[in-house]
Amino acid sequence: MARILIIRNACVYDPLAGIDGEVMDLCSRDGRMIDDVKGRDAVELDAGGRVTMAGGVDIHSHIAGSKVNRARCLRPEDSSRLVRGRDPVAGMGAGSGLTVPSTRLTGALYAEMGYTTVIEPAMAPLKGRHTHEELADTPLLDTGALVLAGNNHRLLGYIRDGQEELVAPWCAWLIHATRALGLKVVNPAGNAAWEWAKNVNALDEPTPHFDVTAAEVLTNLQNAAAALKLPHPVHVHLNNLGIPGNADITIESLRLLGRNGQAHVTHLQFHTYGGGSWKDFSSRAEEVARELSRHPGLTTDLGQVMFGDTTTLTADGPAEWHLGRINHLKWVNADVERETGGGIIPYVYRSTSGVNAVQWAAGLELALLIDDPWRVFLTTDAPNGCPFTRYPEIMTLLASRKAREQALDDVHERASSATTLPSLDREYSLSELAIVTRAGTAKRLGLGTKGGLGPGMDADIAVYDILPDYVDDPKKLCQGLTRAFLTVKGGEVVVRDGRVVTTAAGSTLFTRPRYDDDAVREDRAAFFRDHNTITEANYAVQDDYLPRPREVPCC
Amino acid sequence: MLTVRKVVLRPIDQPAVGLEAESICPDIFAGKASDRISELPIWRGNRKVALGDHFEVEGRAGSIAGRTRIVIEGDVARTKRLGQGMTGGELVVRGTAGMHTGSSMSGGRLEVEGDCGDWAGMAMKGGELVIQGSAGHHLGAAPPGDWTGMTGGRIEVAGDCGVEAGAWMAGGTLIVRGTTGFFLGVHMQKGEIVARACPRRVGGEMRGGLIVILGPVHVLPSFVPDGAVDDVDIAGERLSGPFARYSGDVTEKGKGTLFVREG
Repeated sequence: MARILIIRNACVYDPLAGIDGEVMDLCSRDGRMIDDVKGRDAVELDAGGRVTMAGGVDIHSHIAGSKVNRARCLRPEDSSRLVRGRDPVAGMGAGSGLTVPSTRLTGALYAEMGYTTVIEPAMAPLKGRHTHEELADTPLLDTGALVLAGNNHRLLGYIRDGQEELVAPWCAWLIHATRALGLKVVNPAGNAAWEWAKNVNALDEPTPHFDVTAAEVLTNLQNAAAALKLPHPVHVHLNNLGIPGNADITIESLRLLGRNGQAHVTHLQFHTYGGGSWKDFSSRAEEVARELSRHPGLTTDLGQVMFGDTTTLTADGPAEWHLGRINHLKWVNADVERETGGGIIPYVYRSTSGVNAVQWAAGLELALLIDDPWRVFLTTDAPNGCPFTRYPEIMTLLASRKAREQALDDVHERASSATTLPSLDREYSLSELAIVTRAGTAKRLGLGTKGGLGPGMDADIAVYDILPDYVDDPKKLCQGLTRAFLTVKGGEVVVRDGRVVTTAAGSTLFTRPRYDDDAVREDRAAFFRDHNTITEANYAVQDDYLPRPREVPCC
Repeated sequence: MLTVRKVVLRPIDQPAVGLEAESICPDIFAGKASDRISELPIWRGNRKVALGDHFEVEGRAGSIAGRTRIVIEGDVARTKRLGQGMTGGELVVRGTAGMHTGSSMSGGRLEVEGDCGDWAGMAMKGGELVIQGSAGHHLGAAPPGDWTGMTGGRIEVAGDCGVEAGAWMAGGTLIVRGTTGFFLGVHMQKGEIVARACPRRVGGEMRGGLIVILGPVHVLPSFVPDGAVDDVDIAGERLSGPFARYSGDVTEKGKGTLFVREG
């Protein structure tokens, strides 16, 4: 028997379908949206005119994998800062962790905010199995992972040896082997240099041993993603993250990437700094936003900082080393055999710190200065800027100038003096919020059935306890976005009144580009024989690791 | 004059598995009579049970924590989290108390007449914790993994204590009349510690604060001799010396002070 769900009187914001606040009835059948609203034995719910959007789609949030798990180990104190007991109603297991929650709590916290899809942006290939095990154990969400490819020794070798035609097939094999959704590059050439205790500080600075530059890595991966027709273009974490004055290399990189085609440049806030030291640290968001806007092939996400305790974790080993020198808290460095690096450090962003205040303001500046909401998305690079649970606060800051002014009062004056934030009037509409949190992200990830509520789309729906006339009350908006009135995942109600009511498992999204395996097969066999600690058969993620696989087609 | 009401708890049928009883706290008892106190939840292993299952309750609490005195008549060595987070009032254990006694308390007075388990006064913010017997490990320390220990209040132990007492301490006073374990005041940032003796590694990686050891002690090589004094005023007492003064820990560019009584 068909499962039919009807939601009546929903005030729908669906930018993909061009619907902007129209009260209508929604209907899903067997997990897909359908056009006509009818059906016997349907479950009927009344949204009472509340704001309704497609389920949220997060393009960049660290929720699974070796880094996240090691952060949980490094920070037992994080587990004591948010504890939730077993929920007998939802059948939900207990969970803990404020910034790196356990898998089940991650699913619940996202679902309560109306999110239904989350992409883990940094899977080390060697840790692919672990990553998929955690994703499979994260309920209530469809998930997927991007594979770290930018500092892979074999790729760097191909580029060095002039065999650039082999980059695409090697990347394709990597995506197949790790069941990934796309390609990620972190600190191009810099991470490889970190294995020699070095970093690269310019696009044309060669990495030791390979003599390959960040510019070469970026363009090659961009070309590979285009050649393989991947649903999501290469996902780029630029060089010199978090360093004063890094806006120079960022603007140069945007120019390079923009001229060469498509790319998603992630957590741009961390790459948008002026000044030459921590003393004259400032935001150059205006220039960076202008440069990004110039190149139609580029999109970005914020990496917004919010004040409080969080965990920074990234594949960018050298960046974490620098941060560890500054804040002097516990530090983990990880080196994943010839593929990538990693580092983890707890961090407390303080509103009384001039540097942190500029970081906070810079993210908001980017969101407000990039005119086209289809090209800038809401993320916090969770948990690097802050835990994802703070999205509602950020959405409120984007939607309300009043909220920003109130916030600025409590923040170090450099948020006002070293940025353009106080002069920005723009306020996001509900439609624009829907774009930066679901429609835009889904489109950019190539998830054709997500981000909207038109016929044929996945029945992932979020109804927020907000009436469309919220406008003058930022507090109400924030509360409404924090606890969804209803979250529907695959046609099933999973959250009611801000509370998880059932544990539905999500799917794992992955892609399978077509490529010529013969081109790299022998080379790969030799590579595994001569250089790896494990065999190729033990390296690849087997189908068993994806209990609910869902292929995303290449373009 | 404040009217203080008294609640007496008599341990009955103490199980082999630990009880977690953060509800035994003046703040939670406040405004309740014995029947409602008996119904308060505590954890026996992974099961939620009623306080009355393991304690006989007599008397009634005052209207607020500050007017409530709780007396536990007997050994409760396996009952954890007694007085956790208390902000006022009094809790007396006429016997041995379990782990996490008085952890994160911010006011009031907690007295244990016997020994006390590990993590007593963990991340304590204020108030007074008195242990007539000996304390376990991590007395007044930071929670596992955290980098802020005790920030205020006063802990006084008549006997000895275990390792890492005052770890990450950032304020308040910690007095151990007997001998401490290794790493007394490790990572200490602020506050003051007095102990009769510490076997080794006192003040390792300390960045600030004051430690006084009332006898010869092995001083880490990362502490720099910094003269001598006759007396030290600390925690409202004048301790007579002579004391050798050290500053450190230089591996952390620390500005902590260590006094060691000579002779």
